[in-house]
Amino acid sequence: MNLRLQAIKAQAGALALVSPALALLGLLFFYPIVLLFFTTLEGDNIGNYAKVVSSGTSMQVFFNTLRIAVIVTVVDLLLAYPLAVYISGLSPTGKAIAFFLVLIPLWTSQLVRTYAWMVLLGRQGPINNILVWLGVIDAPIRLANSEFAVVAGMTHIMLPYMLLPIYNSISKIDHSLFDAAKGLGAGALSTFTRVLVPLSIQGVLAGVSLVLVLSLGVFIMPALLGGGRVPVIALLIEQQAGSFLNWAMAGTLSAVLMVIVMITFLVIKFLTRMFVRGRIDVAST
Amino acid sequence: MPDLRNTSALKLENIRKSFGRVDALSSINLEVSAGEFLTILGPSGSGKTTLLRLIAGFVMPDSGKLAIFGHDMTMASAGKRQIGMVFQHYALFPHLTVLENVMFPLEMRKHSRREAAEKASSALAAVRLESFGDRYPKQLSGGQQQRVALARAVVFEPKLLLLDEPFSALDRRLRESMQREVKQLQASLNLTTIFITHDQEEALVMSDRIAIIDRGTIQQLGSPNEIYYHPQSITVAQFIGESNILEGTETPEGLRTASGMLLRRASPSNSGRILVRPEAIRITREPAAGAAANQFKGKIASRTFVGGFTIYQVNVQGGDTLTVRCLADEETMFEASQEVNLSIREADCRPLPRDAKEARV
Ligand SMILES: Nc1ncnc2c1ncn2[C@@H]1O[C@H](COP(=O)(O)OP(=O)(O)OP(=O)(O)O)[C@@H](O)[C@H]1O
Ligand SMILES: [Mg+2]
Repeated sequence: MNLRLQAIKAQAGALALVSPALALLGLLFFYPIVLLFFTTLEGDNIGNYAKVVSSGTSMQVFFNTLRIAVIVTVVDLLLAYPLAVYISGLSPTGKAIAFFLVLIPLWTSQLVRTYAWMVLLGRQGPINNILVWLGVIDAPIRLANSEFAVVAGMTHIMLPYMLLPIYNSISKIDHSLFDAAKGLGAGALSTFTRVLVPLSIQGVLAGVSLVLVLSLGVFIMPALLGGGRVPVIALLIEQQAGSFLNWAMAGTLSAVLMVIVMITFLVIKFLTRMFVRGRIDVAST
Repeated sequence: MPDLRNTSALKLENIRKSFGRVDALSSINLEVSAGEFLTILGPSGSGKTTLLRLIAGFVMPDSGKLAIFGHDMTMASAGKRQIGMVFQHYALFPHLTVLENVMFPLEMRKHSRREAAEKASSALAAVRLESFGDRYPKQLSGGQQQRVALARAVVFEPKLLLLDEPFSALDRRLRESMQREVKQLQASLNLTTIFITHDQEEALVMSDRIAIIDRGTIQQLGSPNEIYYHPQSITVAQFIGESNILEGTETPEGLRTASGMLLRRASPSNSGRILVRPEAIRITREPAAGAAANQFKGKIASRTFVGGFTIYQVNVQGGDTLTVRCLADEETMFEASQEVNLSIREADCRPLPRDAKEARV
């Protein structure tokens, strides 16, 4: 009896401690979401949802957003994984320098970085100049205001979100495991597929989910680097709210985006469970 | 194809390895014969791990030659050497089950999954873990993990088995049972084994031969008896067992220490230094009649009771202090400051050569 009372007291104490945070989250996060949801039902009930789902254009924009997010995620994964392996083998000083370089993008404003990309990819920009100088192309080509520009910019911004979790899980792997694999007869490829990848898969899935989800909601890059040619869902929402003042439709699109994000999260969570089944604290040996 | 009967399992010639300015190994020469259990014993930082990693192929020597059963393997990759290794912290793959861990080397050798599973199961049975195949390493105790590591290291019938301080993380009793287990497995497979430890008792118990290594060089190589009774240097004498080391001037009768003790010896030498093991000194209340050639009077300075033994520090009349170790006997324990008689047989006063470095000075 006494014990149970104590347990209840302890729980109450913990609740009291987190209550300010819960209240803040509730007020600033859940309340607006609920408001948003009611906005979407204004006028004709679930009619807005029916419109979104049946409209070819908006479904195409959703699909396009997803496609770009997947491309960015895959490219970042291909860049970040070898980079993480490389950094984990550096000396402490080397690591510090590498992380400084990797984290600079996180410290600078997204707007600044986007303008930097506009300069870089512009008709008179360094990339065009170099390509012309090398003779690869005869005249400057359009690099900015294209999907390529958007993907390049996003890949750059998202890289740290992919790199950090992967590096984190790789750096936790006991180095003697690689020696053990080598000594037991595993070549470079087997060591990679049978030891390195399985032991860093949690970091990979964490990085993938971060980049995928963040990429689904990007606005500045497609707006400034896409030049109106790269329709993504955030732009569509902004258009509905800003230009057409159709708040209900903007809210509906947001709600659908939220559902897509949640599904993405669940899928990755399921994958994580599947890959790390039965293991207890995989990485930290 | 070299003749296997006449070639040693492992042969190291003039192996050198340095890391930057640190000479981890300098001029290592070592031959291990097939089926032998060799222990490398040395203090921390003496180069034991470096030597083992070099044999395994994880580190390449700066110079010298390394041959395994007559084949030059100096620059061969680790995988090519067919060596089983047990790492200090097991190095089991945490994402694989116990059975999968043991199957790993077989799968790398392109055995079929069924054959690999069968062999791995019998290797697990050999270390009495057949019912643990489905568990993950984290779900096993330290001793069990160590046995899995052992099974994984021998399952592919390696030419050499290397163990780097495999029991240092285990408690005393578990360590003793693991020592027996490794020894049995090694004997039943007739596996040439190189074992690292910095525990002298472990080395004496397990080995056919012991190599004492210090500061990157092998100080002495020999059977446990040779190492214990005939150390070739003060380093070795002090590293194995406890020792009384007495210095003095050589006289026709024997060695005379600065304090005036005269020690007669069976075998003459002129190193001016002798070694007397603490258990070779007899301690009695009355002078022992007509016994050993060396008799001294002394006073007990301190007594330490360590279960089966009692260790006394005895101040010999004149100055030297000797450590004496004798079987514990509740009836005749000596008290501090009690007068006692010490006797040492001539044969137990063993001449101790001076180290090469010292001789030059
Ligand atoms: N990778 C390395 N880089 C630089 N120095 C090293 C490296 N590995 C070993 N050393 C140095 O070489 C010497 C021998 O090291 P080693 O690990 O072989 O010693 P050990 O006998 O195994 O010691 P312990 O009993 O503490 O394990 C030490 O001075 C060590 O600092
Ligand atoms: Mg070591």
